[in-house]
Amino acid sequence: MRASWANLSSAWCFKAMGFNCFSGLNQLAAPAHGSWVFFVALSLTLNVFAQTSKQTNLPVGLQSGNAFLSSEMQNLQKDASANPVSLWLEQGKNIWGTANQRSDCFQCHGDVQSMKGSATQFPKWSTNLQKLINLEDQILICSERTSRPLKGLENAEVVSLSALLHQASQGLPFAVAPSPNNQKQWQAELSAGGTMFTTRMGRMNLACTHCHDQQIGKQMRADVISPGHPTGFPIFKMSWQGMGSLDRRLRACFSGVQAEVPKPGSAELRQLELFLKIRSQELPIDGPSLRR
Amino acid sequence: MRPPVLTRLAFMGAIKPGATVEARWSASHPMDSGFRVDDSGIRIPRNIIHSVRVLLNDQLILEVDLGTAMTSPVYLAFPLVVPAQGGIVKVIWKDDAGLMGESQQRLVL
Repeated sequence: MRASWANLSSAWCFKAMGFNCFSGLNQLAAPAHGSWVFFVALSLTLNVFAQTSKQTNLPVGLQSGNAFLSSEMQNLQKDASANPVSLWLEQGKNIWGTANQRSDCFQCHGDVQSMKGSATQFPKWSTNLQKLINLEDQILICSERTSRPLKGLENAEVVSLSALLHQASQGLPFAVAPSPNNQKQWQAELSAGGTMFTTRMGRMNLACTHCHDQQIGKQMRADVISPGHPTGFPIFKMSWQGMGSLDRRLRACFSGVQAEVPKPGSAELRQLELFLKIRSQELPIDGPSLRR
Repeated sequence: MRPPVLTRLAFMGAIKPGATVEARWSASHPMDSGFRVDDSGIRIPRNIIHSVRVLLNDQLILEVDLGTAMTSPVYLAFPLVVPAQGGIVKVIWKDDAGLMGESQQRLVL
């Protein structure tokens, strides 16, 4: 499995970036010039093999983070009786409520299945607040109107509602778009996000693009680097022993490159989220999901 | 206010008299080990589910003492022999904060 990933990525890299990237990957294995041709051939044959053995034929740069999980994690994800995410989904359903209970979410929105597609719209520009808001922000804003306001973006109840709404939108691609009145602000936020994605930061002096465009499929310690598409969120991360939002995961990336970590809910996280969702190029939502 | 502790009990395998099925129980408990500190440096007191008792038709079949190394959410899986006339499985848990709970599931033949 691991070997096929490396080969897929090298082939992808090779096409996209030329010889440099390819030789970099195999520099230990193929120092001699003569064996280079052999390795190209080997890589291409293995690439064909890997593609037939995989479930999806999407290029590696356009695959969900779920495709990069170990087979054990993928099995756990499929098994509802062992998957911890289902506890959060159940909690979300309890908060959302049904027609029989007098619950706040249900009273306005009706059945959660009628919310199919709502999770795909965020982040969007809020004219009231004059900033981008994502789904978790919207849940907090909504809860202010209820008898039981929720506090904090990483509140378990907020995340479980977000998980429930993402589940209702599974299979749909993100559909973030500006409304006619705020085209300009929206575009500015998107560009800011794109700039952040390619700007080096932190003591590691790395930009997002250095891992999530250029090193996809390679190992980073015990993890395989994914293209960083946000389709699987919110996630149950084993190391968190709980569920967290994209906001939290992005802050973990800032900490990973030893940059100053933005505050939860800050504008730059929303800009980056907007850019990532545009960048995911209509990949379907497959969250909530598990991560290591 | 702390959100309620959600639990789930499920059985894997065909439920037939005499068959062995796997019971899977999990609970969304924070399982604070007592070794961690909060953002202001103050130690979070230990609060884990420390004992779990499993009853099959009101007969104790499993008693577990859990330690601080358990993950959150807690997950236990154990084999269970289905009685001839089916029955009810109860999982009773207790945590350090004095909270108690019970999850119940019928073994439907």
